[in-house]
Amino acid sequence: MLITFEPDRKGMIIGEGLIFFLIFIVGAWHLKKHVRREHEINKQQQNFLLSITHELKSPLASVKLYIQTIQKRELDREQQQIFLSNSLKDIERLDYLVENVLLSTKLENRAYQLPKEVFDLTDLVETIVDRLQKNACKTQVIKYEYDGHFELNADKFAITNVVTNLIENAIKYSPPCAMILVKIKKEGSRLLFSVADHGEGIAAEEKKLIFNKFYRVGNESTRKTKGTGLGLYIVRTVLQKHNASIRVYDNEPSGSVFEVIFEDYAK
Amino acid sequence: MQNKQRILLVEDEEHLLEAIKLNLELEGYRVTTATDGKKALKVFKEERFNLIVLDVMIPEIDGFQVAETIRLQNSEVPIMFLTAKNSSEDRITGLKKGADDYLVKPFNLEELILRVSNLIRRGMKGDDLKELNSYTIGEKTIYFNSFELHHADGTVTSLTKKETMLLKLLIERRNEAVSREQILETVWNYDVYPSTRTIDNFILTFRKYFEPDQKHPIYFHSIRGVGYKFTDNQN
Repeated sequence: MLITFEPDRKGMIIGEGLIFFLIFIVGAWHLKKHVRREHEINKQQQNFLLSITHELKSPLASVKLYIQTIQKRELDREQQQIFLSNSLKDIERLDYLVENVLLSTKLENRAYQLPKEVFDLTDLVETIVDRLQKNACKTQVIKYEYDGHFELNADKFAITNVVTNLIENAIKYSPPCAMILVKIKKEGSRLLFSVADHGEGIAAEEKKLIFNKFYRVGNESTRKTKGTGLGLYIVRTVLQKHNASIRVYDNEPSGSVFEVIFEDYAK
Repeated sequence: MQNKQRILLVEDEEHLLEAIKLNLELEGYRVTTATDGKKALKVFKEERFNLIVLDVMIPEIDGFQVAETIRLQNSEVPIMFLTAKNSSEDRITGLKKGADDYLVKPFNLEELILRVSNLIRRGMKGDDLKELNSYTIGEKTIYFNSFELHHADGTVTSLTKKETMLLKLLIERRNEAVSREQILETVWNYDVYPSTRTIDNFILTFRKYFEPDQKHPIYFHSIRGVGYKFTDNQN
């Protein structure tokens, strides 16, 4: 109609209309992207809430039930010892969970500086492998290879968490008693620490998502493995603060390899 | 009697499963366990249970879906959810899926035992009622399926549907007081509200049928302010 009244300004009117339309399309696209992202975040937080509820309450329920059983029943000493040792394992599980939640909160604080000290990474990994070996399987499952002792100037507590998270994940996602290979080796100025499992492996599209906060593969209500979706997020964030990186690739014939690279580790 | 009761316990947390199983076994139940939804449904198809204790967050098929599937095949077996999920939405979902009870983790051992025992007792009564085809009072026998009362001399009296239902209810709860509300719910199904006189008239008819002396009843009693009671120490 405008063009009928102002035929001389036809070009301008069409141009302005097009620009307006373009702005509208770009805006709508951004809005859609934003809504989808919000939806994803909400879903992940919902998943986190579900998994943390389960992860906190399950060990609590076991410990409470074990103690009430010991109080109520006339159990023999051996049975009592089993119940107490299971309760301790549940308490350790709770402790580990609380540590993970606290560490992830600390890491989100930009001002937080990791307290660094010099320690032997080879020895640290050996201690963790020994501890997890006992819990994992009665037969030998975690194989540890290293070509020397390497000192690292890093936050020992946070690196302990990184190593534990990676090996525990490998145990969790492996078939019972399958072999897990933990390796430390030097490549020039870089130090490589890797954990290789023979589990189901990780789909290509999931590989970039697994380090996101709260991200977990699959549906929370029917999950086979336990966890909160914090472990790998902590791993990546701690490593970023140590001038280190992590990558994941497929193992042969099945499973995954998580490889941590400490650049110029001797500095 | 109690040690014949069978429980299907579905829980994926190894420690919790072990502790619950031990406690239920010490209470005299026979416990079969399953660690995921798929196994639970498989075991349920193969065996008969008096109670199902079901976790919600379990691998393969979640507990809500397991309950739903069980309810399609069996509407009577009591189901109790045992779960960390404690929002009112979760409870409502659980009850909508056909659960009879919902216990939140961490729970008290005593509470678990009491709830299990209540659910099993309630379930057993349903079974007894279903299996009750006939019942003898003195020298007279009631046949519930044919709505007949057979006398000692061989004569037969026809019973109405309501008479049979009320007799079944009172006999099933023998030696216990049954409230007017329970009678209304079971026999009249809340469709029609009979007056006190109506239920009284039924009791009077029963006395006529069974009592040697109607003025001093030994079987059918009215309990003022409560309801009615059938007493029989012979069966």
